[in-house]
Amino acid sequence: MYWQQDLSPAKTRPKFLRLKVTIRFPNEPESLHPIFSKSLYASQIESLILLPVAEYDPVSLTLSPLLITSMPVGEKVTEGKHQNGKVFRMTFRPEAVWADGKPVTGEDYLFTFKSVYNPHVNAPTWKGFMDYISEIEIDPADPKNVAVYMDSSYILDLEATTNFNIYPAHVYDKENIMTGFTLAELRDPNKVWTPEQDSLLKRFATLYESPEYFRETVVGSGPYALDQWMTGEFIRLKRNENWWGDKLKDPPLLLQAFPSVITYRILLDAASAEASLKAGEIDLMAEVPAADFKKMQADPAWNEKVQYATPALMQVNYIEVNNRDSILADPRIRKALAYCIDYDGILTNVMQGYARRTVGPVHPDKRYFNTSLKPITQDISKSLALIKEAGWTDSNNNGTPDKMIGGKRQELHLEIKITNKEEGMAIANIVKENAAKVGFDIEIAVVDPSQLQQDVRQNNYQLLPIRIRPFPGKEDPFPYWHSSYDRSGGSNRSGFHSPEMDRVLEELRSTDDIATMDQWYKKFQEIIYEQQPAIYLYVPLERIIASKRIQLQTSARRPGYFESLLKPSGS
Amino acid sequence: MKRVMSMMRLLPGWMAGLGVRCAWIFLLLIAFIAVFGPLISNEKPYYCKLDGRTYFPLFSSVSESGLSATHPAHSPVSWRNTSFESVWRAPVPYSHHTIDLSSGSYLSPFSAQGDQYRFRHWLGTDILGRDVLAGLIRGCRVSLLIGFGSMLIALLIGIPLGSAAAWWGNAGWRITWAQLAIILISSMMIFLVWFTPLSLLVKMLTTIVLLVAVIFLFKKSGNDSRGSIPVRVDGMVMGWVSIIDGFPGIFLILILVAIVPLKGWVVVMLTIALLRWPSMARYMRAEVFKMKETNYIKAAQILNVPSWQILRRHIMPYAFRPVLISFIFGVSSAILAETSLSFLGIGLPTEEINWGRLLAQSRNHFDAWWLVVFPGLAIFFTLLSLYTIGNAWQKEKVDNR
Amino acid sequence: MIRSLLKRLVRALFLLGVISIIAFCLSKLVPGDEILDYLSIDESRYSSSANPLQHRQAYARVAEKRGLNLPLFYITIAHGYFPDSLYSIIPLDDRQTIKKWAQATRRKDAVKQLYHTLLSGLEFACPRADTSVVADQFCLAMHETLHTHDLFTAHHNILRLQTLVAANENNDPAYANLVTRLNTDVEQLINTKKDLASSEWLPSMYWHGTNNQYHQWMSGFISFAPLTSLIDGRDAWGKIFDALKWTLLLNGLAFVLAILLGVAIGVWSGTHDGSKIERLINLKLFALYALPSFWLATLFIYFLSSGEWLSILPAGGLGSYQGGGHFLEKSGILLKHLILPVLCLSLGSLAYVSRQMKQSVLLQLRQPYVLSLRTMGVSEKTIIHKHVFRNALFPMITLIGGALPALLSGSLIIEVIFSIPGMGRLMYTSLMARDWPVVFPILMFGATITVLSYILTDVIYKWADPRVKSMER
Repeated sequence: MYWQQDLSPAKTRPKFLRLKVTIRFPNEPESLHPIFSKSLYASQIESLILLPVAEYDPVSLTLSPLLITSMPVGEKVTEGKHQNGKVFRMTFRPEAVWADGKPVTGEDYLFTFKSVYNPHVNAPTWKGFMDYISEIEIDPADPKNVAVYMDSSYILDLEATTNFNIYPAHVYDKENIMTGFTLAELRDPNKVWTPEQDSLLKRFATLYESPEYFRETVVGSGPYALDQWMTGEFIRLKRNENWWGDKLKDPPLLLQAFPSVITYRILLDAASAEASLKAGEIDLMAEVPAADFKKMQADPAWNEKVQYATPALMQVNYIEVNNRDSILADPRIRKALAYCIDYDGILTNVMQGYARRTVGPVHPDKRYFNTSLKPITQDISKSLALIKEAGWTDSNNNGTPDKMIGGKRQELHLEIKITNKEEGMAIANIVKENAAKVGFDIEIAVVDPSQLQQDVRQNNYQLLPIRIRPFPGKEDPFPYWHSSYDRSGGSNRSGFHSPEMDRVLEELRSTDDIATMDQWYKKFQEIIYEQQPAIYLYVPLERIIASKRIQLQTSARRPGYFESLLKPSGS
Repeated sequence: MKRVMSMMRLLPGWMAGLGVRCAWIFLLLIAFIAVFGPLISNEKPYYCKLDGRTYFPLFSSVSESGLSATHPAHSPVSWRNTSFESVWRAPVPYSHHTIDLSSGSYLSPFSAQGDQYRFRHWLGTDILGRDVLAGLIRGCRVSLLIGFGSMLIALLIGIPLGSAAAWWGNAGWRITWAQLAIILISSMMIFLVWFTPLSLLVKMLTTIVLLVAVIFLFKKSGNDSRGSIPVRVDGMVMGWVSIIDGFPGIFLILILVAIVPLKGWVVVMLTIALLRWPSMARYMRAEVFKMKETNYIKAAQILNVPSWQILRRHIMPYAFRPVLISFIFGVSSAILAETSLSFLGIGLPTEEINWGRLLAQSRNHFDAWWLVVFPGLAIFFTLLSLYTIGNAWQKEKVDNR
Repeated sequence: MIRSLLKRLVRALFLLGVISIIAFCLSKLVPGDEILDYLSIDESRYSSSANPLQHRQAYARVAEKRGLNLPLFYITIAHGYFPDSLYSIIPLDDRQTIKKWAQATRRKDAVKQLYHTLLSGLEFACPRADTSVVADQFCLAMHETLHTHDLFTAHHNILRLQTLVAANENNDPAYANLVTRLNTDVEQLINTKKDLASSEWLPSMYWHGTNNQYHQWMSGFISFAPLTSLIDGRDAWGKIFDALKWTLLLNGLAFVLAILLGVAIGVWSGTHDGSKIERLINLKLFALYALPSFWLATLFIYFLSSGEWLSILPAGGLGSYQGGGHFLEKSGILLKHLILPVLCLSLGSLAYVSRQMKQSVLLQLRQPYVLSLRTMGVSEKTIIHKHVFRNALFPMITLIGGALPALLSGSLIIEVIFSIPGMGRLMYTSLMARDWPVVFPILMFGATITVLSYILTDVIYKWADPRVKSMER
């Protein structure tokens, strides 16, 4: 190991590794357990401690290999049990080791799958993509080589095989329980376990869910390790002394890590967090309220001390419409609603200009965004005409149009459901006022998050201002818009589907050719635009303020900045 | 005018001095605005004329979309921009919920605002362009409803319970075995009725009939100390007081807002009442306790005046006054409590605007002093008025002793 | 004395029991299904292809772990026409469906039969490895029907399924059998009318013994058994004591400050009643009281920590992130961070305390003994310091006693603004996340303190002033 000595810390590490940064978190992650934590802040930290097999590069936004030497290419399988399926072969980097020095191998990859499929572990988020993978084969000669089989064709096949964090088997399964089970039997729904097996599986699940892994032992292959966590105050990460990424010659962006210490301070209140930023107590703050951001940016005194960044985030804000509803099933009514909203007013006031208009679920920065569709603008006359055309008139003179639907007189009365979040409330209030101008009588219901989840599950809503966070690269609209997913518990929430849409989605899934795929993506956006099954509002710009002592690297990926890539300014 | 002045004299503390008079006038003004708010600030005109037809939008259900349908030539009609042949608007031509996005993003009262003098936002706007003056006017209603409404309910629960607790204590009221049996049986029946497959109406009717029957039977059997089983009135009331005090307020408010299927502000009002009645009951209990020991009441008891009459005629009117003082302070703390809830975003519907909401908005935009000064002054003066009146009243009470 | 104290303690225990039952009932009335929330995927990127049966099994496992498959209380009273042991039916959505069916038809046996047939259909069709159309559709239809409250729609579903099964001849005859059974079950429910048996008119009562949710929770609570938070897996008691530490420090400091300052101002303004300065000071105190605490806090932060005007005090947190070497340095940092929140908390209550004290002083000054002391030529200073002050402090006991529970319950708004992980915030976040294993101990802890503090104030009151007659006789 001559090269290890060669790379002694003092020689190779540049000076700026002494950098300590403090970042504000508006919420505390509940835990750092790789499988059970749900919050976005938890995954932000986890991605520094544990590394995904491959991840979207912050700049190029394409999947780039982190733990593996190169991205796998799907090869058709011509014989054997996975005939007509695809195989993805990958090799883990020889340098890649866990924090304790043990190498990262295919066994850990397989363990990650097995732990999720343990019948006593509840990890629905993970099963969603793992279900596409039918078998994992580890090269007996060299466990760094893995072959992953997929039986059915799937748009996001590369993502499903590589874009997730993997866990060290020897840390998370100290008793080596899961090696006694094969993935195939764990995934067999008809499998009947013997009592001994069952108790073993249960024991693994209990150990796996023990508080130790929630906030004490968080071990991975990433550049940082958990140093200290003071509940409610801060979480501190320290850079690993001998991080294997330093030994790479030409590391991808995400395998570089500059600050030696990253502290996340939990400051709930935006106003006091801003004060802390101004006082120099924190170095970086994202999710700054739009109005404050604008005000500070306009203030020359602060311009000298801090820097501002507004990367466009991969996020689309829209109003979900329940297409099953007797009133909203009519596309004219949906369009009437879309035409009465004052989008410019929303952009300039609620978002203070830090957002762009959009037309559909596809983010405007995507390659296959359909540029021929022009965003809808407010047009009261058109909206009035559409309502009239749909047969709604105020026949009982109460100020609200009505119509006979299914033998019953219905008023043009809708309900918009929100939780008590600032932005949602502002949108709901604007929509209510705007829609009142054309006759809609909209009621705003503020419900608590748990109730809202239940209402959405039971399709018990009419309008719902929400957002989606599409991933960079390709996406699969199938589960959200195909008719087969419009059932209880299905992911087609809006309940909109049509034979034409089904056909487009099926074509989209079955093609491998990029150009054809883009054609179908554009067609998909056209249908959404014509039918308005949901009202698309804007894509927001993230608002980041950072101290001038650091160099900021922004990205369209959440959270918009990369704390591991922060450098001292001037370096 | 003279009559009005003499009426004013009836207000407690009116004669105490100029300060108290100002306080009363301020409170009455707030109450007036609270009642007539929709007439003072409203986006709908009182009266308008279009194509020769006259409308009274503020008093009828004429809507902008309705007018657009009947007058296609003017479509789309909007209260503000359509050129009516003649129109009378409310003094403040905005409702509290009117969103004027063209003058949104915190418009200062002094900044240039459009060219129309009539539509000026005299006290500025908030981020969505909602008029601060309209919000203040609306806030009178919400604050008074929540402040006075909740305390009134608390008073209505607390006073009878508190005085009953002090009057009867734990041994003052005895019932007979027969009466106990009646209570047990009828409550059992009421309970059972609700589990039978009868219609709701029948269930309700049976319950009411049973309740009336029980009250009737008790009235009939008359005097309250003949029986052998003591009713621990004081123990029960004070037990409930401790139970309510045992719950953290935030727990009750959050849970009740989630459970109770009523409008947000009603739930807030009821919860504040629920949290406040124990202190009312405690004050009342202490007062009645003191009165009970006076010779005057003892004499009445010896003369065999029924308890109910002694309580109503001789104790309530005198014990009531000191409790009213705590009522007044209670109102101010209820108004403050509601502001805190506004900060947390609990309770009131989001389209509602009140003083607390306006203040809470200013937190995010500190330069918008108009969101601080005006609602802050409104809260301050309301509370100060209540405080002045309460103080004057208390002085009067002390002096009378 | 001892006997009355014991009596009070027994009474306190009884009251705590009632509080616990009310809290438990309220928690069960909250809408939403905590297990589904726990299992649900917030933002799914990949379609969840998990089949309904797997989902139900996962649900059942979580329910069992959390004890949610047990009856709620020692006894259950239900409508006579409801199927028995409803409590054991999970998911909650199923329970809802069964209740709706029973309400519509009032036939508990037929409802149960239909439910069990649906379940067996689900168990038969869902886990099959063969992904034939029929198995898939069958499984989905079972799942749909279990969520259909309206029996006619359910019937419609089953008829549709029947045609589907009939169209595909070359599959397992078990499908056809199941469909026929389902059909007869539903039709029996819809078509045949049956009068209620006399026993079904009355509510039915079941005794469950100690194996119920309330008992489990209470016994766990009393025995200080480890309670695990549902959101982060930490020990609930540990969480509570962590938070309590900060709250006690913060509120304790604020309390002491408010009492000391309040008493001083109260005495001063009592002796200078009506003077111009006294009025001015009281008006200012009143203004502090009338300003909502959240706004006062913002004002401080803006002017004292943001650097817009000054930047001398930190705006949030407790400063532990700065590390700090030895104890003194650490406490210095901590104190600096506590100044603003303590000020905000105490300034608001200052008006109240000083007013109480002033009233009390004024009352004492009117007492005959003051007059006699004056006539005896005792100096005003001695009168006030030695006699009036002491007696006037007396009502403060009630005030302090009443404030004790508030000391522990924390102050949500100040904790949120200054990012202090205290009790108020713990209660709020746990309640919002429906984390009952944390909410209940906090609640019961607070209730115990409240009830005990009442006893304590009573006792101290009596001890301090033997003239006070016990109000409870």
